[in-house]
Amino acid sequence: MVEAATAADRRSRPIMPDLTGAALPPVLLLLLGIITVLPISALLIRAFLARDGGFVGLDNFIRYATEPGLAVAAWNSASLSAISTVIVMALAFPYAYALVRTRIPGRGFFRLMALLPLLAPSLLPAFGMVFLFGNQGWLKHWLLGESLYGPVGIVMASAFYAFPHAVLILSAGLSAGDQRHYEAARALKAGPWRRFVTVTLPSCRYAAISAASIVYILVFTDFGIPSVVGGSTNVLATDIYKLVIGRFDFEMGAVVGVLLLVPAVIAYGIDWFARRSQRSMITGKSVPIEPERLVWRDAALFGFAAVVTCAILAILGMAIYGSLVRFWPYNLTLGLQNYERLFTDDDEFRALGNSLVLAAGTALIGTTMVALSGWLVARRLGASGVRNGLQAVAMVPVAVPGLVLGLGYVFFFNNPANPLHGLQGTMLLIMLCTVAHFYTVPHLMAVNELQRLDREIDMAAQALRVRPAGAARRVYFPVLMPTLVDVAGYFFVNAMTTVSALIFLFTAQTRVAAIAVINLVEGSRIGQAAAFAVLIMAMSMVATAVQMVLRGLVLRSQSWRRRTT
Amino acid sequence: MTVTTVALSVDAKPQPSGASASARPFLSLSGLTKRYGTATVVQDASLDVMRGELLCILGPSGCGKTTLLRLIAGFETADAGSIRQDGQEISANPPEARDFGIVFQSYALFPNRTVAGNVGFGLEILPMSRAERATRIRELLELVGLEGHAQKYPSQISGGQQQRVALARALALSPGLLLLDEPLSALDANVRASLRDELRALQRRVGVTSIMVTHDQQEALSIADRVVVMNAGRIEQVGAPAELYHRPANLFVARILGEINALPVRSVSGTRVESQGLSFVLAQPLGSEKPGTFVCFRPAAVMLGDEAELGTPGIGARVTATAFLGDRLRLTLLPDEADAPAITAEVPFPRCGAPPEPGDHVTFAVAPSQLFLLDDHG
Repeated sequence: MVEAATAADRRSRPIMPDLTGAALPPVLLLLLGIITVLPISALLIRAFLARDGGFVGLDNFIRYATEPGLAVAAWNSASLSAISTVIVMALAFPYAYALVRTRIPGRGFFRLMALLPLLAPSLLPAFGMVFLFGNQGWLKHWLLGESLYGPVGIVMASAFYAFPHAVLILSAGLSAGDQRHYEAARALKAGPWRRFVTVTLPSCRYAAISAASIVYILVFTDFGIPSVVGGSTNVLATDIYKLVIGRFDFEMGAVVGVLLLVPAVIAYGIDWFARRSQRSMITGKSVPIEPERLVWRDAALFGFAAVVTCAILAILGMAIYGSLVRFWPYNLTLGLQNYERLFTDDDEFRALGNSLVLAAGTALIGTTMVALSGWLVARRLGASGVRNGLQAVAMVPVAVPGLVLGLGYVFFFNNPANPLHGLQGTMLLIMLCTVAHFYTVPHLMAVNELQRLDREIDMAAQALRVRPAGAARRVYFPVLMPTLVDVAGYFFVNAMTTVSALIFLFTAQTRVAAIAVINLVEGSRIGQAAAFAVLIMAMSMVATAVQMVLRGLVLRSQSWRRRTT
Repeated sequence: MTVTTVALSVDAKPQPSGASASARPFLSLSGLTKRYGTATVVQDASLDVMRGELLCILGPSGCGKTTLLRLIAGFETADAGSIRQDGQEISANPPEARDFGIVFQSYALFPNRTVAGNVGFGLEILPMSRAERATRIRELLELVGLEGHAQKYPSQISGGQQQRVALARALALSPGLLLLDEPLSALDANVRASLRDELRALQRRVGVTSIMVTHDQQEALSIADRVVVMNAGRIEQVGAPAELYHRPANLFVARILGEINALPVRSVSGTRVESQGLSFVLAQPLGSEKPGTFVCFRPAAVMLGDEAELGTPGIGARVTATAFLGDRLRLTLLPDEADAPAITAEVPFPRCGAPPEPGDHVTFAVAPSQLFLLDDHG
């Protein structure tokens, strides 16, 4: 009886072409292209055009190199980034080593402290530096007469800002070794130092290359730090802003954009190769590392980690302290008036609201797009042009500095000939730009998560006459849920803290908190600026806490993830 | 697996009756060809599958057997040829418009669904009541002996149990055809053997026409009604397991079904075959057919003893290596003739007396009925 019904229905079930399924991939590819590749292309083209739109070859670049005062910024950016990278690597390597290759107490705490700066805009450490080492700073004499405002400040604040990224990459690289290599080395009578040099260092060299290139490019393209502590030292990231907003010299702006973009692309190319080589060194048969105890080494590393953690806390704490004093450095009475101003001043309060709108909108749009592009790339589309196109376009933003992307948006969307011209000046455009800016990492998170499932799952569903969209709804998206919570959190926090792409796009109506911080610095209202930056960090922390709770709830609701009932 | 006696409604199709039904194949492939770029993965494959039979496709990795299965399922489209299932031409249909269930090596269970949720996955979009669906799921779980596990998740059951869930899921829509892509090769050896026998019993009981891809010749020989041997995209031979084992079409088929000694033929006269210093006697003289290029015999066809016991002039040889296989003994024999290659033999472990040891000299012969002449390819 049951059977008869089943067989009849099976035969009568209509087999229709999956129209939404067929339209989705090209539409998503087009959308991703519009928010990434096209604006960047607009900037690249602009660098070779004269003001009137005629092609001038390399004339703009020649003008940049010869006009007094312009090219020095390129040299400053290159050299200061190099110095910062050396300092960061020197600090991050032993720190990461202490985290994953020793059994010192408090490793979880040290890891948390190292990652804390990720939640703050890059400006926050700059404020901490100002209050500690600025012209009225408590520890000004530590700089031996050098001024904070200039190379010293840029290097110090940049090192602080890039440190967590380096620790993340290095600790991942260091934790991926193979315990048997150490056992083999011991069996061959190698002592601790020889084991370190012959096993540990080679096994993490790709992670080190990767970390160094990422740190270099973070510092090279950061806008916030040099705008607070740069003083009269010009770097590319601040020059591009001054050229475009101050002098309306779009041609020079485009040239600087190219000068920011090319090293970034190279750095990410190196990073990509390094990561691939690192992966090929780890086999499925590797035995996880079991750190050994070496009293003197562990004591030294514990001391080191404690000092670094204290420095992080001191700088963040100083920024918070500075935001609480009435009028730095003349009236050090503590109070909340800097914060009160933010809530009573209409403009600042609107910026705060805008930040939340931007972060929520970015999380919503970005997470939806990532869920779709991750599913399409990982499961839905076989090897095809559209799939490869999606994957390639999703990989573009990671190598594009925010300033370059933002300026590209100006060139692309401000063009009256563009049918999307109407988006100019809207919050939606700022959201799309932020989604584009941070797209790569979440997309890869989704793809990796979905690729962990058996390859044949799609075919099993097809054989059961379930459409791909049905399989996505009933299998893939549930599996992806916890990752999507993380993706939403990633977009939210980054949208809260980012400045770079937005400085070209905001209007009085759409100005967000992180931009307001820059404006307050420009108006020498450093206390309020610090208060704002602290507030942004606090909101990021709340968002991260919410993300963790949500993730926990999702995991708890998915009992299939537990091995035992 | 618990054998249930409930009236199973797994196969609604009428069973074949008499010669007329068996004469018409249920599934018929003709001239199927699949290319990837310049590589031809399946070449001109033609094959008839009878209703209710279990057919094994056997071949080394890369021979195109899985591609052939995927062509039948519709996951790949053929560049040439046709596929007829139950009288219908289906080669242009997408997988969801075909009538089959499939089991994969990786199980491919939906990790976020319970055992019952996996089995019911395809039933959920059918217009049937919740109670009907529950009944159907229960029947299927009883069929594969997993009644007590309905509410567990795939990560909470063993590999063998997961594969049974995959099997129940594949049978849920009562497919006319069951496709099995190396379904047992991810399992431990002992689980594999028992699940193999269960699979066979279940297939018989349900009567579903089944095609199983495997690279394990023992698996194919022990459960298939017929075996298809594939090599480099081509079907080399199709036949019942015993037929293939004892009358392989060529040396490739002979080798894939088990170890074999193959010696190049120098000359054939009457029943006498000369090869590299050794001579063998065939059971009957060759007729008009072209003599093969190799004289072949399985290790088990080798008999040890003196000439009186063997009843035929034996070949003297020295034992160079032995391996203990439990009830049998595996020997490597180097004939006294200088040109002759080493011979592999498997003989019963002697019940009394000392077994041969390396360095011993023995006399062996091959039973004429166990000798065949083969070419190295079809």
